Amino acid sequence: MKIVVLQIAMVFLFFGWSIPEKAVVCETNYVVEVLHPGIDMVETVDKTLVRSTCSLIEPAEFYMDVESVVCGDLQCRIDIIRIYWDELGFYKRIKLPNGVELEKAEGASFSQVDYKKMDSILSDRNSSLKDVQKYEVTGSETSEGVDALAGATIALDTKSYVKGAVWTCYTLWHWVNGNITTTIRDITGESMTLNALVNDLQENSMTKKKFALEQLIRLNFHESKVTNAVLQLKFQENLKLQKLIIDYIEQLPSVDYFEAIECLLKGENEKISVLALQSLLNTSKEPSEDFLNTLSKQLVSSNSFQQIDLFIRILEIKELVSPSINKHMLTILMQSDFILARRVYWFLSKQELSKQNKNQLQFFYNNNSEKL
Amino acid sequence: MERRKFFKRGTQGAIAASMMPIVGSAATTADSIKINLPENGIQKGSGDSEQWHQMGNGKRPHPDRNKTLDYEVVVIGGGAAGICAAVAAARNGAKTVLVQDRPVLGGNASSEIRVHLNGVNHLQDGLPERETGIIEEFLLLNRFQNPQESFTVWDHVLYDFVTREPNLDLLLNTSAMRANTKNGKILSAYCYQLTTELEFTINGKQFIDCSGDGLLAATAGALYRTGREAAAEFNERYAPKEADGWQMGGTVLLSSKDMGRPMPFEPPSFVRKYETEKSHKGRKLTPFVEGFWWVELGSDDDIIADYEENRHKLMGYAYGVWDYVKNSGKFPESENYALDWVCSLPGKRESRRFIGDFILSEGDLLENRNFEDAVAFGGWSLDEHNPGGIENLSEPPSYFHARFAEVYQIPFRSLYSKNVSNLLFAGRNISQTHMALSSSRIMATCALEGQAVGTAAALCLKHEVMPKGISEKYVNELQEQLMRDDAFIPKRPANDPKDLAKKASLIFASSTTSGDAKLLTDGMSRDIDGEFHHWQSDGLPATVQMEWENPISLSTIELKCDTNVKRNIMMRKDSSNEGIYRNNIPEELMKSLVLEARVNGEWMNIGAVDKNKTRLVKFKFNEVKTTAIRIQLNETYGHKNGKLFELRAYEA
Repeated sequence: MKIVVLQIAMVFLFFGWSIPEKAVVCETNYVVEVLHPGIDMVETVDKTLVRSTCSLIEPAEFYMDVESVVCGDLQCRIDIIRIYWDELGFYKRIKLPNGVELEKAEGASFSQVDYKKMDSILSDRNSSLKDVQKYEVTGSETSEGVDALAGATIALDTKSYVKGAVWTCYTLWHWVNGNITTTIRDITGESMTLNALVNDLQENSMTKKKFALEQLIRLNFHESKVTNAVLQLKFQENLKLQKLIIDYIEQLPSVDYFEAIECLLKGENEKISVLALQSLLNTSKEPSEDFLNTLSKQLVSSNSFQQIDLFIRILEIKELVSPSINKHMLTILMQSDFILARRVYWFLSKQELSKQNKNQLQFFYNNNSEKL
Repeated sequence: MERRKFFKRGTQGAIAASMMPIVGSAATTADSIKINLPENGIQKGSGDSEQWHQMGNGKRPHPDRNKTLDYEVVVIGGGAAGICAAVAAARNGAKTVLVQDRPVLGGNASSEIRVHLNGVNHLQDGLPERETGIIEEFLLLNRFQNPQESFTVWDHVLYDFVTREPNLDLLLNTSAMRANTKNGKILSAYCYQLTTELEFTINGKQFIDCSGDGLLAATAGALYRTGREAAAEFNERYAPKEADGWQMGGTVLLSSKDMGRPMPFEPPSFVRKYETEKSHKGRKLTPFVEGFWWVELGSDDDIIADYEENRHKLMGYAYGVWDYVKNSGKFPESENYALDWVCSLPGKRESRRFIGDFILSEGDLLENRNFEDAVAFGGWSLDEHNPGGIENLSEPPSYFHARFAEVYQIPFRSLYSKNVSNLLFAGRNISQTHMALSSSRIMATCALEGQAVGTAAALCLKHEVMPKGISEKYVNELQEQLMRDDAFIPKRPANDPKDLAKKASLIFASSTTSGDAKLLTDGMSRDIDGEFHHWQSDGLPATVQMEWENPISLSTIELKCDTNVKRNIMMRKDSSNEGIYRNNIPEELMKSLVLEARVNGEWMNIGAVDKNKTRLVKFKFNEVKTTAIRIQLNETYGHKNGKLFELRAYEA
């Protein structure tokens, strides 16, 4: 995305807003390209996004002035309204020019209930408005309970729009939740120091953790202190965060990557361990024998069918079997988890084993032949 | 065999082979065909060149056109309910015949009438809770075979769906005129085939009347009601204070198309003026392209007897409304539009409602009553069309009394006759009040009832009981079979004791974005009531694996994949592809899957589907002794992830 930056003073006249008494340089303008499906599915429009740090107590925020409605039926009144986001691109509020109210069907103004619902709609990034095309909005609320014998369409769930203002909801939702959110995050990320991003990784907020990790990946920060901080997140249960962790370590040089995999597998977090092993299965990086030995020893104690199953697949597909790995795997035959032991039995039965190990395998077979 | 040769041979076998106008696998044996020989002993159709001349002048008798057929289940009516009933009965092992009085299948949804095959299109939250099972199967088939959305091709999609089914025969253009009964039981249905002059006596063990009007059931002496109940009788909030005879009407639909140039319109002589200025604003004239559902006429007396008179009037009103659109000057956008199709067979909403062991009423729906014998569900609004229809312009065309927050249950006891022991019904003629009908009459809801009674009829044969016996002893088995066949019963998780998947020691997936692989055996085949019952992969390919501690013998694996029941898939005249409507193959549907079983430590391929077209995917294979299965999901019809709702495993 092309972003043109203009630093300006906050002397910013906008319709009914008052002009501050003193000009303070606390706003930066960015000319950004915004894709709005209500305007065009492919071509972007240029808009001015403003980053404001004018508040002494609140964090930075962004705003942009947009048309209130991309009109589908040529019967709409278009107002220019201001949308505010926080520094991570999440919707905060809208602001209307003085004396202006959003309009519903037949000229009725929004009520307080409508504004509240609108806020809730705009805050919902998974609203069904997300997948609705412009042409699909027409007629969305013209008829309720239509009879079986044809009739107009209700295209959306009722949570997704204010009755009588489906076009306004559609338009604003796409302004609020379109590609501008990524732009805002990137601008914020670039404005932060490495330390600040690492600090965000350690914040309690999952939103901040994800943001920081996303930016660290985007900006290719691979310093060891960053990697260490990322690996500290291995206990987290959030799937999206876990996938970002894997994305991050996959960017690392080979040595660091394998160390990171080992570290993740030590975390006793089943989900991230499985993701790590899947990464190992798919990577083109070549693991050392030492690494695999260590890993096999480590996995034996995990007692996880899925992890050991994946590890065996890695060994088989990449042809990485060794006597020491087999030795570790043999210990699983003695464990109480029969299903796991059976999986290992079938793997080992195809390996070249010492006489003693073969005896162990035969012993397992003799005791369990009916259940194999 | 050529027709001429039939007359020459004149044998029983020839009659069976050549005169049988049945589509599908003929079920009748030669022994069951009755041949009436003329008194002089000369067989009909002896083959001389004079035969037709002699028949014409009365010197030789006409060919005998009486046939007796034997089936186990006889289904009357080829609409959505009848198709589902017949297919369900046949698939569950009953030798079945479907008797349809029109040249096409589909009933109100056929090309003759073109009503949208609606169901639970939208609940209070605006989202559907779409039907699955047999109804979904042929709606999906239509998306594969009829992407152009032609109504006449849709007729033949249904024809294909029925005629390809083993164990099921189809009689088109055949009316069931009356029942032959003995001791409160139907022995046979007397039917007449318009196109062949054939008179059929169809013997059966179980009879299912899905004809809407229910002539067979009525002539069998089955108790029924018509009209509106008084509010007090069933404590119905929206029923009239006093009972009356009003029945909702039929509608004549039309379609127009843009011809690209101004198109004048001259109304026919039978046109009836539409008085817009007197009409309630609920009769919307836009969009006009696909006609007006409110061109409707009912009856407060004998709606069946009134049908032809109403049809004539309705055609006049339909042209009258179109005349107003074209010639009033108020719709300049209609200038290039011309009528492309006008219905000649009004789509019916209401007539007889037969009495079962339970009469479903408004409160059962609004209060979401829980029935132990629930076998189907509905959720269309209480949509009661006004008394008088288009001849009562001052009232709204329909009263949408209430919309449902969640789907309601329909009990099996409403689907069989109280006094005719081997008679079941599905569709608008089930045991319910007028108010309950105002919601449940919708075709996809009727289709669920159809699948339920078809399955029940087959169970009647299996257990040698009547439908009431199913209600008393085998409802659990009926429900389990329905759910195995991908019907959904609200608040009733499946728990099939024969399902070995429930006995697996371990189930896991290669990746997960939502849900959990463990949910695939929880008995619920859709996400509902705010709860997940699915597993969704993170990208494709993905695998689900199931492990059993002890080896098991398997020959069937069944899984239910995603078709997004929160979007409607029926064909619409406007070809809507908006939020809750779609006009294509669901992108979520699994397209390609592979099934493996682990035998002696090695994974072996035991099944694959490359162009799957159904939500319920069945893998049948030679019995295999195994300790684990693995399903590889390779591709959907567009969605990046694979999603499953259920996984079952059965022994041979």
